[in-house]
Amino acid sequence: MILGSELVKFKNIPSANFLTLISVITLRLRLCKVRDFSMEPNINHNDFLAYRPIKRYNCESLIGNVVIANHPIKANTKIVKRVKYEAEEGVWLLGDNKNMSEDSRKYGLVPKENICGVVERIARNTKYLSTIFKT
Amino acid sequence: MLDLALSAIFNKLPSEQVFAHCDGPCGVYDPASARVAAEAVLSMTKKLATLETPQSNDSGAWGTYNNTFSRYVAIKEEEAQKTKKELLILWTDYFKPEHLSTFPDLHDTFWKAAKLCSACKVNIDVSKAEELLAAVENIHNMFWSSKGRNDSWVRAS
Repeated sequence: MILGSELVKFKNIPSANFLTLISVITLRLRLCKVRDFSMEPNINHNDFLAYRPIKRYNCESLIGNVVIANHPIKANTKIVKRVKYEAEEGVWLLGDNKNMSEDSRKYGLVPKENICGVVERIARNTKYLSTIFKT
Repeated sequence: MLDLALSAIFNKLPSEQVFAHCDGPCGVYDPASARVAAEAVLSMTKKLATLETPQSNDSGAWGTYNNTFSRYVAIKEEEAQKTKKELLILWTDYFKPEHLSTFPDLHDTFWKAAKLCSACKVNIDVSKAEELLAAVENIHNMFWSSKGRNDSWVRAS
């Protein structure tokens, strides 16, 4: 039961394609590069993400989606996490790599106004992966 | 293949950095704690090396000697273990794969420094303790240069 509901709430990110590139160039999607490992194995260090900016996070449910948010404590720092659930006061964000993630378990609910966008596409930086395996 | 091509293009485009934080919540690292422990190891090793055995068979003098000797050894053991722990935190938590391009000998440096901690526990060897402190100094320099700073190496003793 619990596993089932976890699966339902887990939305995979489709791979980027040339339309994504066009969307990035035309500024419909924003481009960001991931640092660190808390979203492994779904998002790796140095992967590129294209996200759709959201101005007001009210009318849509983002449960299960990966979002970009302003860090609730550290200024000028954006984080990438998955929305576990939504509440009046904010959203509960978790890293997929739960053993190695600093997330809502540390800083609690993140205010909705901190959410900057929803990740729509991913481009895996396979070049980077190959350098890891060599070392 | 498409990913690779797109990544290559995305690399040229302006992108912001987003963090998938995996560090501890504080994110505060400093090789100073390893340095203080390593200094204590050196200090205890020097004291042990110069500790003289009592000349007489006086049990009181031997009692005092044994007590002092045991305390020095215990502190040396404890501080060497502490040095190792602090170094391992820097190695496994602070330093990231991308640091390997700047410091290709990173793994070797930490591995040898950790080995020196063990050597300081096994022996009463001033030269090993000095080597350990030198290794910590090397790590101090790597750490601060990875942060783009040039903090000078200051010893407490």
